[in-house]
Amino acid sequence: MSILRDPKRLIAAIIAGVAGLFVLVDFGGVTGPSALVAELLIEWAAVITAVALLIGILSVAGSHVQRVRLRRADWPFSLVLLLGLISVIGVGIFFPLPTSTGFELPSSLAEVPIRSFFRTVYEPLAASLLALLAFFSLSAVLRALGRGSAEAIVIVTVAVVVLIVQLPIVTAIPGVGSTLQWMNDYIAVAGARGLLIGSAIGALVAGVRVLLGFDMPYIDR
Amino acid sequence: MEHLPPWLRNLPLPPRPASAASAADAVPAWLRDIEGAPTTPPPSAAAAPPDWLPAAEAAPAGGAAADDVPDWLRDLQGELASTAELTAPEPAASDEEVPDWLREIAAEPAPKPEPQAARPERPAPPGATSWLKGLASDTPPADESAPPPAEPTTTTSRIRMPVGATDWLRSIGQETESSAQESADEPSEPEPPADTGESGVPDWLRDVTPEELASAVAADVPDYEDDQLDQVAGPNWLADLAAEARPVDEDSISGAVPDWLADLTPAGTDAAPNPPRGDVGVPNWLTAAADADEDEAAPDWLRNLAGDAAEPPPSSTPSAAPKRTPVDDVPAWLRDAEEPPAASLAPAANADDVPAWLRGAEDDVVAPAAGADDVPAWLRGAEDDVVAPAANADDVPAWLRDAKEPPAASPAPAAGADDVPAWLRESEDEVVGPPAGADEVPTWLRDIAEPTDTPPATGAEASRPAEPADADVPTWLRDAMSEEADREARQPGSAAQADIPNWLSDELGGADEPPLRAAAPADLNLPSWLRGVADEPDPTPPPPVRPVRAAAEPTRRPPAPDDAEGDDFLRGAELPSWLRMSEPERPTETAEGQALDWLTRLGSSETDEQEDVAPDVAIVPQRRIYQRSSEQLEAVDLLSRLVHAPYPTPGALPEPQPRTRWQQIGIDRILYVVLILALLGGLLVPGLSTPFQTATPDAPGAAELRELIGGLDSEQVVLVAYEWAAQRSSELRPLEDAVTERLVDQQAKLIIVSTDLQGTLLSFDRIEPLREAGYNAAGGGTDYVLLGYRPGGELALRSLARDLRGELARDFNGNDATGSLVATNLDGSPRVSSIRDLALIVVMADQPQDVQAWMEQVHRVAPTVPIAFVLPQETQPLVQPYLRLPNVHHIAGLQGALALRVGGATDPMQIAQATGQHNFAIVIFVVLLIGGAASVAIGRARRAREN
Repeated sequence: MSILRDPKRLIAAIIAGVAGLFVLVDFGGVTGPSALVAELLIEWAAVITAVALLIGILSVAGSHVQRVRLRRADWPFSLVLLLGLISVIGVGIFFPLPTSTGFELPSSLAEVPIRSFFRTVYEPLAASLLALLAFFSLSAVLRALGRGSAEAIVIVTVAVVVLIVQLPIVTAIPGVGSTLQWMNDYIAVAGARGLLIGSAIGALVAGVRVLLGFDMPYIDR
Repeated sequence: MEHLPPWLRNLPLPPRPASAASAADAVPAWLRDIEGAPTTPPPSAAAAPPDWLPAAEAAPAGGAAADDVPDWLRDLQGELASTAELTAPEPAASDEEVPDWLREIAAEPAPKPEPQAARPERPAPPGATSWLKGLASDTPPADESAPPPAEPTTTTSRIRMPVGATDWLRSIGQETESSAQESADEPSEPEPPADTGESGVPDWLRDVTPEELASAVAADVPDYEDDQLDQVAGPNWLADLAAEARPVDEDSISGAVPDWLADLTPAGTDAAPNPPRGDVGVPNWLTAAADADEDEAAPDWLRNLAGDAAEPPPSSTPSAAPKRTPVDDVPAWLRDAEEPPAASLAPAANADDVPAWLRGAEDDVVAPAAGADDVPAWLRGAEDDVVAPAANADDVPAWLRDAKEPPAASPAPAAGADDVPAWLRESEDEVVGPPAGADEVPTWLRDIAEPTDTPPATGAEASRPAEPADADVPTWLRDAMSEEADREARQPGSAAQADIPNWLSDELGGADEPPLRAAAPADLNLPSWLRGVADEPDPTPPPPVRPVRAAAEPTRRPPAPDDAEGDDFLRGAELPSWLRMSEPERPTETAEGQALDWLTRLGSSETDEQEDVAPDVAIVPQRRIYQRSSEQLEAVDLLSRLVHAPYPTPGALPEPQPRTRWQQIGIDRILYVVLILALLGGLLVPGLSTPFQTATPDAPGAAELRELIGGLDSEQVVLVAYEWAAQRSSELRPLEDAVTERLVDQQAKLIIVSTDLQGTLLSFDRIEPLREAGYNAAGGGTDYVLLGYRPGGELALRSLARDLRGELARDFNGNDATGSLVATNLDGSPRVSSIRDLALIVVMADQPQDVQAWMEQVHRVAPTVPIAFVLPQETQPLVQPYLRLPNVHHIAGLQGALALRVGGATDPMQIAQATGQHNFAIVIFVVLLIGGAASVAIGRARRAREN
């Protein structure tokens, strides 16, 4: 159905398009009333994002509570998630802090209890999870070589070379450093620019479609 | 109306005559023509007059019950009631089995014992059309010199014919009987041959001569005696029918019969008075109808018609030509049928309206009607054959011709016998002729023709218990069946029954079987008027006759009646294939089959009307057999072979080769263990990483960033953004420490902000080191401002780039930091009004998107402000295009952090150890990678060599 015949889509497209145009025009350096409107819209967007974050937290919590209540598959993991959520909130808000006059509750997330909890629990877990990448990459290399495909061999070869040239000993070899720099400046940058330009064009097209109402992610279309 | 043949039910009823004067107008023309018949006996088949007839004579005093009476029965009632007054009541042998209307019929005057010539007719059930009954009643005067029949033929013939019979068959039966009786007494005098112009007569019927029919039926006509009739097991009405066959005196008839019927009654029929019978078996409604004023009930035209019929019976001399009112409305064929033989000599002007076949029947009685084109030829021939058999032999069907042939000629089959249906041929042969042709005669017809051979059933026989299904069969039919059974007992084993349709075979079987079997369910397949024809008690149980036709054709489902109401209802509907009834295949249309086809349809139609269950069907439709193509046959053959082929024996799977110990463990697991052990060894044993240590590590961008940070002072403000997550802490934490250490060394004022949740928490961790470094946040931020989390991602960056001072109005605690020393100078002038007032922007990002957002939202606003990205090693190649822009600096990875520390407050020994461990890990990883690749290659080569 055409967007002109669907009031719901039409109104949403108009609102999104007008707001986007104001911000786009403001991004071009135009001053005046449009800049004020754009600034107001950005503040609104920030508030809406904060509220959306809160709603997201409640949604995730509610979903996992339901899973635990109905004893669905893998409900213990949901229970762990809920325990972590409650623990962080409890520690960040209700953990008593000793003061000169007694105890008081944390006033913000910058207080020691929540930071300690984060640093001693979450940060090691996250770092260890990323550290597993070394084992995963090793396994992937073996599997790729086991298949014997030429592409896999090329990728593994390049990875090995990059690793090797990071070694100070190799860098000290005459000509290796300059060669690596040249490869980094031209070959790597060329590929990265291609990726960035491609993503930028995609973002441009997506923005135009959103502004014109062809895509309306705000109504799941 | 239910007992009327289907073709009569839908006839529109003529308006009832309001008065006698107008009655003449209500009389159909053809009946008015009948009025002119002076000597013709009243129509004997008036038992089932069409609707227009009873409607014209609606009984005035019918009572409530009279409303339920069919019109034709009402008419019959009037006749019977008048006759009942003259006849003596006879005890009812089995009144309980007889329906009321039959009981009332039975209450008709008992017929006196009469000679054979009196032509005791079997009772004809209602349903026959009057013209046929009249035709049948016209046949007795074949012997013109003989006295007129003493019985009111109207009544007897009406009772004789069963309901729903085909009219011409009813007529044939009566003609045959009468002719047979007459021929038995004295040879019939041949009449002048009828005209040969019967175009509508089927050949098979044209061949039947009246003599054949007469002689054939003569043997079947039982010699009813009064006593025997009285003792008939059936209802009294049958005995009454026998009594009706006796001559009734004119007074009694005139007194009992309604006027309009009395007029129709021939003069000769009232000679034998019958004692009046009581209304034992007569239902009230019929009695009431009989008591009604016939003058009022009967229309004038009928009265006139009766008057004409009451005139002296036709004699052999054709002098008594009646006055006929040529009325165009009356079908000529019916007009002729009602005309006396004398009148037939003078053919009516409208004789063309008479069906040719009926005209022939009429001609048989008296004289041929030259112009009787309307009479169906087959019936015309049948009638003519009674007197002049040779004239229309071509037009009359062979079977009918044979039936009409005199007994002497019967043994020699006629030339056209091929046209005669076998069943009819047999009926003739069984009655008169040799038994050779009896095989082809349907039993029901045989039953009709043969009762004369056997004496009427006695009361004892009639009281024999019958099967429940037989209870509905009229006694007269039951008697006929038992007579047939007697005859069959004398002539067992009729092999020609194969030609008989099933519904007739069933009937035949019912005739052959003992009385207990006579009412077998197969009887239900018969038309109502034929049901129980062979149900006469027969002590000798003949072998059961199987329906030959059904056995010959594969029976898959009972045939659906063509005229069934349900089928008609669904016929036009779009039914799915599984609901669609398969189109029954007609059996091979032989001449005989074509002749019997209409009979079959009629029988099935009437059977359906009575909602009888048909356990065995006479004509079994064949499901259409499709011819399979060769491809289909091959496919069927293949499918059959596949279905019947045994499952292939599963072959033994090859034994898996035993895996070696190293294969069971897996090389990847070995490598994992080696890597872990190497890293732990490098930590535990510093000497392992010593060869890889260096005190002056170098990294791209570290020197530039070091110089840039080194150029800051305590009055400058640096914006530090924490956009990284904890999982990158292994790289970014050293980088963070290195950068902040440098900034703290320069005593630069810091504004710490984050648009990432984890980054916010990580930024809070910087509070303690800053405090330790002497940074003070009192007064809203003397040395640094912690803005905390700024939601919105790029929007927050956009807002920050547009109005940095406005963002300083609310720090992570909500306090206004604009008055702090970071944002405002000591003199109150703003130190930082916008983002362009910053000395450096340091972005600690772990994703390329973070770099892109900061570059697009912030660096575009303040391109002159140096921006330095602190990145993990894997992100740096992806953001190379941004890092190569002016005023954009970066440092990546642990190696860059170590390089940034060089020349700072950090101990060079620590830097060397860290560098050594880092390089050691890289070397170990590369070795494991190469070793693993080598093992894989060796394994592949080994497998290739083995294969």
